[in-house]
Amino acid sequence: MDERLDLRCLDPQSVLALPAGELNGDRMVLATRDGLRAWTLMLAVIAFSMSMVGTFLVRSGILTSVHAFAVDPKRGTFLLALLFVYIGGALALFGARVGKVREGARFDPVSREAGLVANNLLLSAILGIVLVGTLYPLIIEAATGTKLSVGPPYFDAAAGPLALILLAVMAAGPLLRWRRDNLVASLKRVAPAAGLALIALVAVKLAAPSIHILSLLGLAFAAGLALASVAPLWQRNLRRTPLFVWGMVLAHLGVAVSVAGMACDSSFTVEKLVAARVGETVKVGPYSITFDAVDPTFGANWQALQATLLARRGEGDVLRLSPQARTYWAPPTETSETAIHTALDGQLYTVLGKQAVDGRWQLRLWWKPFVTLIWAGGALIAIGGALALIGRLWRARRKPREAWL
Amino acid sequence: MKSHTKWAPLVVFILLGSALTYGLAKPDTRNIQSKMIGASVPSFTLPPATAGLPGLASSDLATGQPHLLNIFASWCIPCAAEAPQLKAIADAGVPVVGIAVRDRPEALARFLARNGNAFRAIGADDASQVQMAMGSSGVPESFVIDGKGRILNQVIGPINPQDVAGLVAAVKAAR
Amino acid sequence: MRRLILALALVAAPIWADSDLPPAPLADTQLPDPKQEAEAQALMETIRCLVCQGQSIADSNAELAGDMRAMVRQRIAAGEKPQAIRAWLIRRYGSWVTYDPPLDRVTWALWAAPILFVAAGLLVARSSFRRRRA
Repeated sequence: MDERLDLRCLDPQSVLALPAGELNGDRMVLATRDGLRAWTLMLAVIAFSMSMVGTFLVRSGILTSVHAFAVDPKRGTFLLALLFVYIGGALALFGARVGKVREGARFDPVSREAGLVANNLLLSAILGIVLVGTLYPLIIEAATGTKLSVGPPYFDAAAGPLALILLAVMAAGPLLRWRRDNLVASLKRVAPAAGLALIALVAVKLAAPSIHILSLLGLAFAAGLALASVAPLWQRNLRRTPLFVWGMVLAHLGVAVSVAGMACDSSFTVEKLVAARVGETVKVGPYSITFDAVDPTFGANWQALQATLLARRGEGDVLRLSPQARTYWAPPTETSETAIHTALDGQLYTVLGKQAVDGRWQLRLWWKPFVTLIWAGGALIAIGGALALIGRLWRARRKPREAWL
Repeated sequence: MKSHTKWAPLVVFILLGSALTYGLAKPDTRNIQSKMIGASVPSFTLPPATAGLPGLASSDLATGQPHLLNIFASWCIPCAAEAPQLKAIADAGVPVVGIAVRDRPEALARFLARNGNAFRAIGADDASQVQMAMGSSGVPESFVIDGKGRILNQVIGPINPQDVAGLVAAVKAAR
Repeated sequence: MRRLILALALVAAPIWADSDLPPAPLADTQLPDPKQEAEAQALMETIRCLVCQGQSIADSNAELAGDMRAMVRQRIAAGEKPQAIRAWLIRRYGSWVTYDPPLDRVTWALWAAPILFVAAGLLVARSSFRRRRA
């Protein structure tokens, strides 16, 4: 069925994304300031390790999840053996040889390097939380035999606050000087973003009093981060701004946009469950949906009942949506095909359910405003990363680099 | 880098790897045991599920006589498979009562005609309410209930022929 | 016996062993009071479906999940607090049925983990900092 994308949906497989983010930030520190060499090395190893762990988790069947797509202990054992060899080997090598990596320059607690260290710390902590939350039921069952479930309430409560602090660090970081900065001066530079965050907080709370605290803070911090991310461009000759600065601006802005999308999706999603007769009209969000017909249809190995829904927004065009309730016959499985309409400012989800004895059909309809921001933000992050990479490569061509091993 | 820092990732990984190895090695049990074992049967009154047999109330289970309570349904295929075992248990002198989950009277009557009727009473649980109150999560499940209405034991899944003797003894021993 | 079961499996009308009773009244109907419905929805998203592969009862199509949704909505409409309903379910099925692990002897490490990670990270990061001259 539908995937709920919101701040409260963390998955075991998502462990693999986090070290990559830290690695990006660290590469920058390494390139410009020579600091954090050992951290960078370790993160590279961890990033690869996590991708292998993620592969193992979804294939071996040790976790029960709708996202696990194979229950194959043989493959799982093979992957586990590979894990031990690759990761164990890499980490053993790391422990044995990292002493040979020459120490980079040190820095002040209030500095951009410190911001990046805080960034690493928080992302590593979030990674740790996802790993612990995912594996804790397994460990407890081994130790005590008690069965536990750990889900969104835990991940929200544990990783949510850290993610918010991360947003704040991300906002302040680019505004701090390298190596050493004055605390009062840096606070002054961060003040406008903090002010905007406060205004956003009050505005959203007034507009939506029953909003969940995590979403409220998410929106407020995203607003502050958005302003802070474009701040480095302030009073700069935009045509002479190096590519990597543009990359940083876009990437951080992308994070703010994505977080805003997640917060909106968690809090402002409207769901309607109706038992409707053919011909009736239902309102969900800004759309009026007319239940036009239910017809049988079939495919290569399935048959289905397909509903025709005509969705209209105000005086706009009529959209045709066709959710299906499918039955596959080998093996006998019932699935539901969601019909989705994506607009610039949100998504309309429609699902056809079963027919009740009185002839009315079960319809589930969702309007998810601004969920598209999540992907827009992701695209910005990707573009920002690409620009930063290109900028670095450009620079590296001109300056030879000293070896640090 | 300090010594404890540079070896920490390897140590953490070894712990992680052990957890994953355990996860792969342990038998896969999806059964959820009821936590009501040891507690009194929750109070309920269910109407008759089919013509010819009375309904079931929690008071019927606290009369001093132990019972075997079987939660089943006519649409449940393993329930048909365990019908002979229930007959054997009833024939051994154990009172067997049932709760039919989400069932229709006619379908239940056909089921009992086809598979035999070991039940003294069957209550109709149309919305799984009593099933949930007992901590049961599927059909078929059987509970050994003592004379005072306390739940002593739970069998998840159909009763195997080799378990019949043990269950009969358990019910008879419970007073 | 095996043949009988196979034969039954082939002729049984619904091939996927489901009852043919309609869902309970409140399984797929929202409560008229939006605040109560929001409360019920929030609770349902954190109760695990007993017969599914890791879904909440809010997301699951299983019949038992529908009955559990109906029970949750019925009790919330009657004025019961979500915490009480969750406790009722935990009493019957154990902590497995809730996605919000309780804080007790077994789960204290889970809840302490975030703080421990941040503290450990701070300790490690300290060595990177230059001491500020007073």
